[in-house]
Amino acid sequence: MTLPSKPGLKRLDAMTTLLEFMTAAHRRCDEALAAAEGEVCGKNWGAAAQKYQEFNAAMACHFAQEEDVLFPAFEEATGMTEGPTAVMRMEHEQMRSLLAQLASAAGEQDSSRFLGLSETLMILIQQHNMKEEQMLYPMCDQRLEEIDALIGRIEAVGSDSGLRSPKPEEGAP
Amino acid sequence: MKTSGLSFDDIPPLDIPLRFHITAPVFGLLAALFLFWEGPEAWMSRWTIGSLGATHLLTLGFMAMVMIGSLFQLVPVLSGQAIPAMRWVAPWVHVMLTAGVIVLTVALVRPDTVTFTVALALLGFAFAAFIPPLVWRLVRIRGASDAIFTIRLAAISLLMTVGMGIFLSVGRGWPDLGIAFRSWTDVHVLWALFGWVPLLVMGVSYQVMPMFHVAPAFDSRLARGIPLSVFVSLLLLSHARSDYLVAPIVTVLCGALMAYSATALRVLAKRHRKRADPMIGFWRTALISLALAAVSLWFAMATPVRLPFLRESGAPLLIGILMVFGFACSMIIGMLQKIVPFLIFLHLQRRALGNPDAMSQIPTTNEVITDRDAHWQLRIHLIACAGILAALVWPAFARPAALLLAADFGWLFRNLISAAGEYRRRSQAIGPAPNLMESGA
Ligand SMILES: [Fe+2]
Ligand SMILES: [Fe+2]
Repeated sequence: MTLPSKPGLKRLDAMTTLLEFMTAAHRRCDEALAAAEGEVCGKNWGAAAQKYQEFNAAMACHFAQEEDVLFPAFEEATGMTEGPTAVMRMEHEQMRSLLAQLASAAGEQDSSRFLGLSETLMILIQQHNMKEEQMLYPMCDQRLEEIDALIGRIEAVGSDSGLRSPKPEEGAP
Repeated sequence: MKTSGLSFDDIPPLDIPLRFHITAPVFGLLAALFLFWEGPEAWMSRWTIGSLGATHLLTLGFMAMVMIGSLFQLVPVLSGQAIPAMRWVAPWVHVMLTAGVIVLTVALVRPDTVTFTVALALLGFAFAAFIPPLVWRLVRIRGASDAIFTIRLAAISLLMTVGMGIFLSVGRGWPDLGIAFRSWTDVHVLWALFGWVPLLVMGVSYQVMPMFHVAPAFDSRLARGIPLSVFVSLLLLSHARSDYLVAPIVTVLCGALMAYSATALRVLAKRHRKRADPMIGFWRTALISLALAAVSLWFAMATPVRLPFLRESGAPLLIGILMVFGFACSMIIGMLQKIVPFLIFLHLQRRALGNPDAMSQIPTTNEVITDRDAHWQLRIHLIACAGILAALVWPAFARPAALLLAADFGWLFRNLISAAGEYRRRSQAIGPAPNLMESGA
């Protein structure tokens, strides 16, 4: 996305399958969780609150990208509304519930509660991501038309709050 | 791409994986008792009844038990397809495997045809009921990731191991057939210890380390080159009959295993998640054991040099201990402390969804097995590893080492039982399931 590429060559660009695009987003969320945990371990509560906010925003953005754009596109293309996407939505609810509890643990500066919740959330996220990366995204890449346009619409929902790698004009090496 | 029948939500009932996970440490304890009973005698060579019995209690009773239980959990989730009649099959597989391991141990202690036949029939049923449907799904999981590539090689190695194991039991049960079973045992052990086990761990680590520890991905050329080298050298080794051939092949095999160990340790060191996690200690123990086992294997098979401190017959025992207990058991003991609390959390949370009062009853994974208890597991396990290696050098230490082994599996059993108790207490507080997602089959 950030590489200057000719439109005709875009499909050859490494970042253009939905699987790769969304997997990169998962990894950015993981990094954000690790960063928040790192601050909580060091009891730097100011920085921890900040990092938690970034993580929470990244997750919220990713959920919105899936629930508002990707899942409807999948449901429309396959006619499956009660299938995989219903389960994915339910798991998002499970994660939201843990995210809310994490916020209160961060507010109360309760590090053992925070780390207990974040470990649980981490496992929940990873088993969810594994299903998306192994099944759902590859199915989307195969079954949906015009992936580039779809990725454009997903990006339009919002970037995950500055966690994205910096744009070239912002001085990337 | 087939999409019909894809549900994404075939989470098996909790009791299916848990019955395997909780039975496993009991066999670990039995192995420890067995070694205690036999005393220094068991450590004289790998052909003693003590070491044969303990090996199979650990590999089948502990390792295979956990692996099968986890596959019943994982495969439906990862492949998005239910295992047909799983609720009916899984309890039977569990019973047959449990009975089969016990009877096989009896058969190794006092070999006779009838006991071997019964053991073979029981184990044969357990494996036949689970291997084809599970492996078939494993092989068909979409995608060509490095992890899946490696796990497929592991699955083939498992088939070689089990096939050869059956062949050997037939030879031992019916001595008239005259099967040359020492040389075939070497092949069986090579595929089990240096094929199936490390290949499965490699494949799992490619997936798990970057995800759960937020570590960099493995270099893809290494991630495929290493398991391929392992697999090909095992294939060649199964047929090589002259020392001129064996030495270079073993060098490649050991080099590949060392390369994996070094790569994985480097990936772990670069992880971004820095919280104190006992699993990191279990990973390191496993990877260092693997490297030590590879070095020992190389000395034993590719050089005329004898390993220091050890008796003539000590090298195979050392390699076996490092691979079974140091490598595989470390991984499994560490992972059980993560998997079981997570499954308990998952089932409780699903039941509480949409019921705000119940949400406060859901424990986090660290409340099911506390970090303190998991860290103690790591310490006890490290002491047990040291104790068992000591027993190899000083036979007089055999019984204390067996007690350390018992403490290791005893602590694991305690952690898992108290986790199950926690589940029972919390689920009573939450009340009956709303049957949203867990129903049906
Ligand atoms: Fe999702
Ligand atoms: Fe996602």
